[in-house]
This record gives sequence, structure tokens and C-alpha cells, in this order.
Amino acid sequence: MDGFSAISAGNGWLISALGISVVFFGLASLAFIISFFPRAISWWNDHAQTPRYVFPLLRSLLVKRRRKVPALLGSGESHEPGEIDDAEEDLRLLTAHMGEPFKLPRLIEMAEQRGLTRVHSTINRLIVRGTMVGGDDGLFRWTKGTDKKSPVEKKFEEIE
Amino acid sequence: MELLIEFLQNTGFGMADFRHLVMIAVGLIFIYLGIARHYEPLLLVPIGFGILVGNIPVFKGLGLGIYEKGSVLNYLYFGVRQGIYPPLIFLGIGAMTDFSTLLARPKLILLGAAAQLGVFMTFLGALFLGFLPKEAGSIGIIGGADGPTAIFLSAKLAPHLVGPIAIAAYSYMALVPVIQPPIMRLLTSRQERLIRMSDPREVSSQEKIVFPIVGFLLCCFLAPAALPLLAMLFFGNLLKECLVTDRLAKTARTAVVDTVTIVLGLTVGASTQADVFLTGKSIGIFILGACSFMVATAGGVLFAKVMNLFSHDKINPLLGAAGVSAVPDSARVVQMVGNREDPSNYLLMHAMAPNVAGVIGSAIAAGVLWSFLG
Repeated sequence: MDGFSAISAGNGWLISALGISVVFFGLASLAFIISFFPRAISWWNDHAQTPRYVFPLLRSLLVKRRRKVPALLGSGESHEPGEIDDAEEDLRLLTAHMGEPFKLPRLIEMAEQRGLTRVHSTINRLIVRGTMVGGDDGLFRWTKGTDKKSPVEKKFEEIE
Repeated sequence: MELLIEFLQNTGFGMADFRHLVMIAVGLIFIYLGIARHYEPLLLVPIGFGILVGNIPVFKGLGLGIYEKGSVLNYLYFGVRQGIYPPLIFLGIGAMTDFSTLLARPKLILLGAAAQLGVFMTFLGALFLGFLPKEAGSIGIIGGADGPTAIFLSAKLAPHLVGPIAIAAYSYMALVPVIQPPIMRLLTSRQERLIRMSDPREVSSQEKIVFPIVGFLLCCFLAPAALPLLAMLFFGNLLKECLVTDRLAKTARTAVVDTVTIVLGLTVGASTQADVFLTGKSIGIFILGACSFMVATAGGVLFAKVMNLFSHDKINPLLGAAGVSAVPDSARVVQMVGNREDPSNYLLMHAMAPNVAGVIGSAIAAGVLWSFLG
């Protein structure tokens, strides 16, 4: 058998159409994934030191659960009145140099280099308070015109 | 006197007929092309000499011929029949290949896919001419312009055609500088051939390490039948790029690939015994093989032109011809044709992206054909 009938009998049209589609789909998917490599690797490099701030954060969360009332504030570490606001000012100065949005590990690193104490705890407070928010891109930014005290903190003050 | 005559009749001179002489002439042409014209010498010289070996007329039953069980050549040919050598060659190719340009400009991968049009059009052409589906699939893969892939698939689907298919594939790979340029010039304007490509971005070593792993997982999940080829290709590349297995990578790209190339070339050449090779089918395979290279080249070039319709960053359509995965010959041809129009336009580096994508594409195409027809 030969001619077009041979092609039809051997499922030639279907095999060819599916074959070229699979090859195109495979290589197009590969191209699509490869195009994300630089961003994915850059993200990985930025978050490779994640444990440096994640573990203290997790530890603070565990402490928060063990404590009763103070745990509502977040880190569980005590701060003098006004201390958070001072630390916030310092951190805002640092991020002014870095530009917004900023990477949290970099901010922590810079803050520690400049001798700020309890940086993780402070940042945790600011996040709980909503002064500093994280975006879907993994970067953080300051919120404008937010009330500096979170509802949880206000409630705590009312109890006191 | 009778004994002398009997002896003379039992020598090669006595047993040879015109077919042996034709095949010996073919072998000599291969050796000439390899040595004097430098057309794929690493392949054509072993294959050419193998053709000479396979076409010395010998007594059947003495255990000398490549198709006789127990002969040395038959043992060596086992690696071809069972598809052992092609993956080993892919290991070496992987350990030699730098995928940087492909990683820097991923959209050029599509040109490697477009050139696989040659595989499937030739498959249809072979069916049209009356070849059986399995034979047609094996013939079609010649359009992938990848010798090891062609041998691998034909060993699985149509073992009786391994010789003609391998010879056709390697012949046309060697003749890429002759086949491709007229098609490239025919399908492109001078203005298009003058398009300059911007410099590719720098690719980090991390990207190069991640690529073989991601590429392997994606391609093999999609076309599992391509596993033996793609696994070895990407594994070889991982050995090269991870930098901690430099010794293994060096062995893969030197000792392993060289040894396998010698044995593969010699046995494939020897498998072209006149009585097996000189048939009507072989002529059909050669005609279809030439067509498949032309269609593959045209497919790549035309697809590059289509991409230019939708893209601001124009691609030189000559790069499409490099999607034919004869590495690195088709990339060199792109450089040569581009250089003729503008001697300061360097396309070789860019052409390597579709060229290596073509290797992956032809292996996927082989996997797909094997899945459907195997």
C-alpha cells in the first residue's frame, strides 16, 4: 500500500500532528521555565540565609504561645515604652538608603552592623503592628499613615 | 592446479561482484570526504573504513561477517542493535556542550523545535512511498540530523534498516554545508540575513547546573521513551557544569565518546554489506533523507521569520537553519552564510542555541515515534 491511503492506514496524520505538538510543547515549556531561571536563582540567593531570621522568628512564636498576655504582642521580648518607635526611626533611616521595597535579610544585616539591638524582635513587632508589610514578591515596604499600634496592642493597653 | 583454482575462487577476488565494488567505492568516498574535505572526519573515516570491512566478500559460516553470530564484528554490532552506543555518545555530547547561549536566549529553543518538522514530514513521505510505519518512523528521524538518535530509533523500530539509515544520516550531516545554504538564501532576503543579534546576557554557573536537572525532568516526563538519550545527555552536561566531577566529565567527553565513536562508526559501516545495503529501499531512504534535511532547514528558517512578526527583538532568520541538530556544523553554516553578507556579523554563538535545542528536540521526536510505533 502506498499514497495517502498508506498514510491514513498507518495513522500518519495523527502521529505527525501529535509528534510535532509534543516536541513544540516540550521545548516551549523548557524555554518558558528557563526564562524564570535568573529570577528564581536570584530569589534563592537572597533567601539562602533565611534560617538566620526565620528561626529566631519561629522561636519567638513558640515563646508567644507559652506566655499568656505579653505573647499577644508578638516576640515576647520586652521593650521599654517608646523603644519600638525609636527603633522604627532607625530602621526607616536605613531603608531610606536601601530604597523601597527592601529585602528583610539585608535590613537585618545592616541594622546589626550598625549596632541596633533586638533587631528581629523589633521588626517582628513592626510587622505585627502593620507598620511594615510583606508583598507577594517577598520584599517588604513601610505602610504610610498607619496607626502605629496594632489592635492587639491597643487591647493589651486597655487590659492594663 | 585444481587446488589453486579452488583457492583463487575462494579469495575475495573470486567471490566479489559489482555490488561489492560499488560499496567499496562508497567507502572510499567517505574516507576521502573525511580526510581531504574535512567533512565530519571523526565519523566518516570510521564509517568509510567500516564499509570497506563489511564489503570484503567472505565465506558464510566461518563466523567472519557482521551478521554471523559469534563473530567479533557481530559482538561489536550488539551495541548498535541494542541501542547501547547512542546513549553513550549522548553522554559525551552532554559533557562537551555549553548550553549558555540557550539559557541566555530561551526563545531560540523554539527554532530547534521547528526544525523537527523535517522528521514528521519525512515520516509522512516514507509512508506515502509505501514504507511500513516502523520503517517510516526510522527514516523520518534522519530529519533530526542526529546520527546517534537515528541509529537508536532505527535499532528499535527497524533493525534491518540501521545501516542505510545511519549512512544516510551521517552522509547528510557531513553534507550540511552543501545542502543548507541554498535553502537559507532562497527563503531569506538580504536585509533579513543582515540582522544583527544583540549580545546575550551572562549566564551564572548556578543556572548551568540547574538546567540539566530541570531539562531532564521536564523532557523525560513528557516523552519517557527518550529517556536513554536525554538522561545521558543531561547527565553528561551536569558532570561538566557542576565542576566537582571534572574527571568524569573529561572521561565522558574524551575516552568514552571516542571509543564508542570508533566502534559505532566501524560497525555501522560494516553493516552496509552489499547484499543488505544495495536495495531499492536504500535508494528511497537516501532520497527521503535529503528531503528531510531540506524540510528541517526550511522549517527552522520560516519559523524564525514567523517569530519576527510578533517580536520586537528581531532574530536573524538564518539561525532557524541551526535548529537542524547537526552539532556544530549547521551552526557553522549559519555563521558562513551570515558572514557572506556581512563579514562583521558573528552569528555562530547565537546559532548554538537552536543547534543544541535541536539535539533535545530530535531526541524527544525519537521518543514520541518510539512510543507510537514501538
